[in-house]
Parts: sequence; C-alpha cells; structure tokens
Amino acid sequence: MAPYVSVLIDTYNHGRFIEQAVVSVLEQDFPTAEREIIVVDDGSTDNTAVVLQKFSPRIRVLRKKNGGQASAFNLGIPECRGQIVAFLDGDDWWAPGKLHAVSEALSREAGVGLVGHGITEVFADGVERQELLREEPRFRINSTAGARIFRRRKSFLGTSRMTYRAELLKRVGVAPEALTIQADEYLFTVATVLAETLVLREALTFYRLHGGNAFQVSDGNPEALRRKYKVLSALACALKSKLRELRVTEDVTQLVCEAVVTEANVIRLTVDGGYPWETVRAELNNYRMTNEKASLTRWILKCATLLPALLLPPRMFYAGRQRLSRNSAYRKIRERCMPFAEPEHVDRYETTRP
Amino acid sequence: MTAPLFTVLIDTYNYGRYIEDAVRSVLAQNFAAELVEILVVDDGSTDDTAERLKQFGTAIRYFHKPNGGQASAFNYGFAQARGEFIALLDADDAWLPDKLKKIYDALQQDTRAGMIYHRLYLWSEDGELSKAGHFAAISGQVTENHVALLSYPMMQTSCLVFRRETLQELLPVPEVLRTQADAYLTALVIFVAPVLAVDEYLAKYRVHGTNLFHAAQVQVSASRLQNRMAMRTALVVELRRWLAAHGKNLDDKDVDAYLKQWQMAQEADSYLLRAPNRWTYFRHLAEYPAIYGELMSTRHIVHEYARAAAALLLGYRHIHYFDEAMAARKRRPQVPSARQGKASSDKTSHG
Repeated sequence: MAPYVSVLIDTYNHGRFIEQAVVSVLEQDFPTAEREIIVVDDGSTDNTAVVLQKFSPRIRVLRKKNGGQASAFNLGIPECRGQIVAFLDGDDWWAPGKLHAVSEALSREAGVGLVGHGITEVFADGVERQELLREEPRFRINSTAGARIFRRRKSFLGTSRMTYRAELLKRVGVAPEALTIQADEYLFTVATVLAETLVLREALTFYRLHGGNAFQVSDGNPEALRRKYKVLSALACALKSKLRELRVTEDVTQLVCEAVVTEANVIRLTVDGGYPWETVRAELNNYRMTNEKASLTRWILKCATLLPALLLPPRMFYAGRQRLSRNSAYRKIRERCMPFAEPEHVDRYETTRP
Repeated sequence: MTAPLFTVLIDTYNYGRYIEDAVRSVLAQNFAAELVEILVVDDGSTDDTAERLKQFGTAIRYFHKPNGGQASAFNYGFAQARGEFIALLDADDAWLPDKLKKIYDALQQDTRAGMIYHRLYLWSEDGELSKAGHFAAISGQVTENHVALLSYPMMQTSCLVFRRETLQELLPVPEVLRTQADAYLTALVIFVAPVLAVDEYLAKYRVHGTNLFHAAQVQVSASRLQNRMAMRTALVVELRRWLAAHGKNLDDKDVDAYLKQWQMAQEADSYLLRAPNRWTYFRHLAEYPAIYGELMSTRHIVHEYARAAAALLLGYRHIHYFDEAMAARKRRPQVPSARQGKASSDKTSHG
C-alpha cells in the first residue's frame, strides 16, 4: 500500500497564484484518499482567504498571524498526519506526476529521507526553462565530499521541491523563527545530515519568477536585501550550532556554512558597503564554490575583473557591475568572447508555451 | 467484454476545430467496430473540445488531464489503452477509411513487426491532397542494416501503429518532451523490434499555420524555432540516455551517424535564427554527402559538394537566392533526394 502523504502549502499574499498551486495538487495522479492538503496562510492581507474558501473541505486551511516562513512551517508540520510530507510554495505549482514520483522513490529507497528534483523556471514573459539533472545524485553531509555535493546540488531541494519522511522531519526539529525566508534551507540541510538525500532527474515543479518573490531579490530594494542578509546570517549561525550539536566535524560544518556566509557577505557589501578587500575575498570564495573545475584561463580572467574591486568601494563596484550586466552591448560581447560556463550537471531547455 | 484489437489514441490540445474530423475518420473505418476502441486524451485544452466530443457518446473514451505536453499525454493514454495494437492519430489529422483494414492485412503477413507505418497525404486548408511528403519504405530489422538505418525516415504521428508489447519496452516517454514524443518512439523502436512499412497513402496530414512542426516554407517565429530546437536537444539527450541504459554502444559508427540527423537539423534551424559564416555553412553542407554518401548516386554526391563549394563562395544568404533562381528555372517537381528528405522530413514530423 502506498504511504499516506501530507501536502503542506505555505503562502503569504499569493492571492493571484494560490489557486494554480492548489489545483496542481488536486489534479495529481495520486489517490485522493491517500493524501491530505494543508495550507498555512501566514497572515495574508490580500484575497488569499477568499480563494482558499472555494476549495474547502478538500483542503485544510490554518490561518495565523504573519510571522515568516519558519513560523508557518512550525505551525503546519505538526498538523501533518502523513508518513510523507511534501512542501509547496503558494506561488509555485507541481507537474501532474510529482506526488507519484516522489512517494514511489521514498518507498523504493529505504535509506533515503529527503527527495528533491529538477525544476522548471517560469518567467513573467512566458518563457519556461526546464532543468533536468544528468544523473540522480544521492548524498549525505557526513564527509567533506558529501558536503561538497550538497553545496552544488542544494538548489534542487528548496521548498516546492522537497519531500520528507515524516519521522525524519520530526528529528530535524523546529526551525528558528528568525528565518522569515529560507527556512526550507535549514530543514533540508539538517535533514541531509541525519539521512541520505536523493535528487530525481525530472523537473516536477514549476517555479514562478515574479516581482514579489521573497527570495529572488537580487536587484530589489535595499530593505528586502537587508532582510535577506539578516536571515542568511541567522541561518549560518543556526546551522553552525545545530551541526555542532549533531557532532558534524568542523571542516564539514565549515563547508556547509561557508556558502551561506559568502552569500550573506555579498549582499551586505552591495547594500551597506565595507572594505574593498572584503569584496575581493567574497567574490573569490563565491567563484571557487560555484566553479570547482574552472580552468586557469577563467581564473585569470576572474582575477582581472576583480582588479577594480580592489580599488573601488564595494557599493560602487557592485552598482557598476549591475549596470554593466544590464547593458546589452556588453552582454553581446561577453557571449561572443567569453560565454558563461555551461553547467555540467543539468540539461536546460527553454520553451515558450503556445 | 473482449479486449479490442486496436486502440486508437488521439491526443489533443486546443484542436477543438479539427477533432470531430479526426474522430469521424476513425468511426468511418471499414473494420469491425467492436475490435476498435477510441481514446481521446485531452491535454488540458481550454477550448470547446469537450463539448464537441459529447455527440460521440460512448463511442469514445474521453479523458481530460492537466496540461503536460505530448509525452505526458502519450503516457497517460498508453496506461488506459487495452488493445493489442495502439494506433496514434493527431487531432488535426484524419485517416482514410481503409487504414485499419490494410494495417490488419499487413500484420497477417508479418507477425513480428513492432511498429507499422505508412504514407500520408499532405492536406492543405482548401482540401487539396498532395503526395509531396517524404517517405522511405524501410522494413525489417533496421539496426542490422547500415543503409536501412541511414535511410530510416522520420514519420508523422498519424501514420504510426505500435504493438503493445514493443511499446512497453520504450515506456515511459520522458515527460520533458512536450513535443517530439512520437519521434522518441519511432527513433528507438528499431532497437527493440523489426518495423513494417506499408507503401500506401492511408492518412491525411493537415498542413495549417499552427502545426507545431510543419514550418518548411513559411516564416517561423523565433520563439517557435527556439521551442523546436530546445525539444530536439532534449530528444537527443533522452535518446542517448535510453540507448546507453540499454547497453547500446554510443560510439558505434552507425549509431553515431543515426543520431547525426538531429544534429544536422538542429544546425539548419540555428542558421535560421542567426546566419552562419561561409566556412561554418560550407562544413555543414559538406557533411551531408559525407554521412549519406552511401545512399546517393555519384552525380548526386558531386552536386552536393559543388553546392557546398558554391556556399563557400556566395555565403548563406546568397546561396538561397541562387537556389530559388534554379528552382524557378526548373519549375518541375524534384525527386526528393536522401538529403532533402532527411532535412525536410524532420520539419514535417509533427510534434
């Protein structure tokens, strides 16, 4: 018999999108009697409640005062009765075969506690970019090698992609409520310490990129960036102490937290500035982590582009770089002469829906 | 109730204006109706498809699923199919009344074939039927014969009939293939079973502005070209995955040449987006006789190389003016060459 599955949807002011999210779960090719849908409405102030009303009693809605993603998870998770808990963000939606695929994977692989998968990014202009993994990696944060794989593949474990065994989720415990965004990263990192994680090839989630994404705020307003910086710092702290508590070795903890810290630093330097050499260090760290197999030529080029960073104040450097990257002539030259390295682990297919 | 012999699988997405023609063409078959079941898989249409199908009542089994593309519609349909043979029909095409009978007769002769295919008329908006489509009647165990493998054509959905047990070995079709799911099946079927070509016109392929894959002469928009290229890339990746997983040697010369046809089509498409320089285009053109030389006459090979040389001299744009001028001078139907067949058939392989 298939295990009972709980679907946990967290939402905050996703009134425009929430219907598609819920419908995508209702339309799964998965027996209705073997799953429940719980929506945690984190104090939305738009029409979310009205939209959700339509679906009762097929979904259970938990309403709370706004407190961020971690608080929403902490309220919702104990309410889940399934042996498997699958997460979905209110602004994303699932491909029809998702629940079947992940529950099947968890039934087949007794040692795996968390399953992620590829994604399809949906841009505002209708372009859909499917990202399919070339292999199906499985890893655990119990060695430096495992931590490295985790770092490279964690983008396939975010909210609408992650499905846990309920008993593992219980062992992970509550997420610190300071994580108003990025609480998913806390959960999947700790889970990958406690048990093995598997990433499926197929793109089973549609990830919507829109102006209001809580996390995608690269060129957003300084307030949002500051908030993200604070959350990332809190996340790094929380992970560090939790991993120590779980007796993960120092070098492995370092590898896991380094990625978060560097990301936080880049944001801090962009918004609030700092010393020029901090930029250089953060950028080099970042480059080392994201391009583990970069050729010597690329390293030299990278160092050359960082020369201005040595001289300019960080804020000016980042603002200049952003302006440059928006310049179409620069983009053309860049694509011709020194194209960005193709990712090695995924196949990307861009299509427009007719 | 006995299991039907044939399952007719019609998958549709917003083809409400054509679907009745398709269903009627199946109901009009001169073949025992109790041996045929008709499945319509509606891949999340937002038009009047469902209403138009109500008139057929229990003569068809209608399934509406959330939109997921051709591969997901196929997988869904195959799971519902009960027939020993599964015949595909695109919602915008139609069969001729003899089709199932002729296929049945052919299957009595050849009891091993895993897939049967046949010729189609091109069916224009004003009802004209043209025989201009490319076809090569390749039967038997294609992979065992070098020449057969190279000339094995790409086909349209509506001419395909699969044996259920053969299909089983190829399923599921990777759902990344929102189009090109039929190409996935026809490309791989030769590795698991012999095929059978029926050299007769048994269906009509409707040529209209919105065919996803028929864009030979008309100007296609950049986004549609990009879609086509993205799906073709995905197709080749998935074909390679399947072949590797089933112990086929991807470095084998024949397999490599077989997979080359998609790469060539891909290059040709990319040139429509961005004109190549002379040297690139020369190398592209010179590759056709290098790969397909065995299928061509000496005269043909010389012509191909001469054309490549001319391209080196004139460049991508001007060689097309030159081609047009030559075609205008001749104004008579050309015998489709192996190369042109390869190039154009891919465009008409309906996704």
